[in-house]
Amino acid sequence: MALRFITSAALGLVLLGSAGSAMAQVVGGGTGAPPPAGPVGVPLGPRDPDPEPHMFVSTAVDVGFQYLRPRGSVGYGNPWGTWVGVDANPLVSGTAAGGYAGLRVALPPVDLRAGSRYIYSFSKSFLPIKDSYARRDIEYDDGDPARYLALEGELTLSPIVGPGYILSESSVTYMTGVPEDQYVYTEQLRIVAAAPWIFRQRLGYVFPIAADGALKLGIVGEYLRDPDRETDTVRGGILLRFRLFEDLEARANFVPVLFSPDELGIKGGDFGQLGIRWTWAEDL
Amino acid sequence: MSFGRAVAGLIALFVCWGGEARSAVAAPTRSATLGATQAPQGAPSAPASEPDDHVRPGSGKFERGGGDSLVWRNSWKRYSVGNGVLTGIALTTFITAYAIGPNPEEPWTSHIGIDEEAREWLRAPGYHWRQRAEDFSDIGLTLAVSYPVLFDSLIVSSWYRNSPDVGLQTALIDVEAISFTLAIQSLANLASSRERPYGRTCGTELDPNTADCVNDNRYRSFFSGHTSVSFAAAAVNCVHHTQLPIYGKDGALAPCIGGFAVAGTVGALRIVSDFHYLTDVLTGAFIGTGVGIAVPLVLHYRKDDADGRGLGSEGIEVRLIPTPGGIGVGGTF
Repeated sequence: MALRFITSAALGLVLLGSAGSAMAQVVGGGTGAPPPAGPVGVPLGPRDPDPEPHMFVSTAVDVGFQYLRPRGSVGYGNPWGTWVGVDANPLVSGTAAGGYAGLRVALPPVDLRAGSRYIYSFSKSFLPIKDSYARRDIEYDDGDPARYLALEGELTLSPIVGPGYILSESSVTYMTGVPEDQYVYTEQLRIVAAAPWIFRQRLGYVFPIAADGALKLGIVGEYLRDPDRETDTVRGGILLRFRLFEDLEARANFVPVLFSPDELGIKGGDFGQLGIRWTWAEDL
Repeated sequence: MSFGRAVAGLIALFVCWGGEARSAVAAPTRSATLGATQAPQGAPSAPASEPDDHVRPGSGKFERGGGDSLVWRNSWKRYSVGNGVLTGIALTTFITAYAIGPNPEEPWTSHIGIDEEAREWLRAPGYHWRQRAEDFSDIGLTLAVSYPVLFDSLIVSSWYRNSPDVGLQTALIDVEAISFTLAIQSLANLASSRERPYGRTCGTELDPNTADCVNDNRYRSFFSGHTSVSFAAAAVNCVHHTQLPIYGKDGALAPCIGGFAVAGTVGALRIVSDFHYLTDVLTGAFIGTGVGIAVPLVLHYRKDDADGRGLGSEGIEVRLIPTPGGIGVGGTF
């Protein structure tokens, strides 16, 4: 039922098109339902206990106001547990286009990915070097749009400790295509950076707070180091995760900047999620 | 039967390049329904002919299905393919008008006295605070739009009250109302090409190479999209709460007041941030509220004959009409 519901909702809310009464009717409702299945206090999944590895295709789609972030994966293993494969996700917004593709190894509680991200900006240019930047500065447009390739590696750890789990995300980014005498604003990391290296570490603790563990709160801190620009950025805040149905989770991030050489406002913090994530997988 | 009949050809508002004309409102249904959308605890089963009216009492606990379920009345018009077509036309209009953009060659740059006074009073004193106001108006807009869909429709209606059918209907109606608002707003941007208040500071306070000075965004002042969309979201959500006991009986006041308070704050912050004039914000609030009330009442929440006529009565119909150049929208009142 949840799968049908989100299929209808995704079509209606994102494509905003022709979801009709037929869709509304398939979701049913009105009768009782069991509480959400799955372990309490742990990250989403595993929801398929089948230990037999197999080839699969899966998606995770993040939907919210003004954003749609689909991610597709093809792999071997259990898509809700241990698997290896490739990830890809397109990027299209009003200001840029591009995409990410890379390898992925999931071995809970360890998740490792490595790949490349290409960004083609429609209007934003590389930035002239300054000591500090404001929100208007990162929208600089000298007629030559910024284009660059970033090689990324990220290690995520989510070991269960106590009632919740520790969340650790360590990433390294190597950017190519950025002129030496200019900086770039990266929407992925939300900082003004000098190429090529950027390091990032997020650390936090996520724990259940209500609804039999379906609602979780995370308290996180984040540190970014740009050795070429010689700047440090610190963020801190909260994450909310609400597992509504087996395949659907409401998500919210509120991680503002605590310390930075720049004044980017919301463009410098992690406010990028206030929406839902739908996950799906199918055997090949 | 009706007080009058008017067929409004709103072709200029919703222009499309083709497609099958479908009735946006189905023939009125006259079946009896429950008197309330929330049945009392332990309500007996509904008649076999109306299985949709069965209501499941919840446990009262904060868990999936813990709340009493909601029911979409049989007399109310569900979001149909016709509504989907209308929403698609509105979004196509919005995207097309946005892509074309205003005309920077012939902008509207003259100033209105009340706008200048309001700007003098409300505009933040420095760039730093204007940027903060812009940030908070963006956050406010996100909250205003996300709250009805994410919290009320998905979490409360679909999850807590275990009524995904109602949750889906209210979410789609939210999207419909916001889409109509965006279409009107983008056409107004296109037609007016009004320069934003900060435009006169490009080259002095603002770097002339800033995207906001270079791009046509500089001429999208009339009318405020942030404000109109926030008010549309507040209004349509308020109508939902007046028709459905989403927060329980007599629970409509708080979400209505809260929604309009957030929308009003967003509008004020658009002036503080120097992105809009007072008239841009007032127009946006008026149009957003109007669309947010009219869309659910006219197209979906119909009254039974016993409830009397008026907005939402069965005497109102809205139809898509094929024309040589595309599709028009007509209505019977």
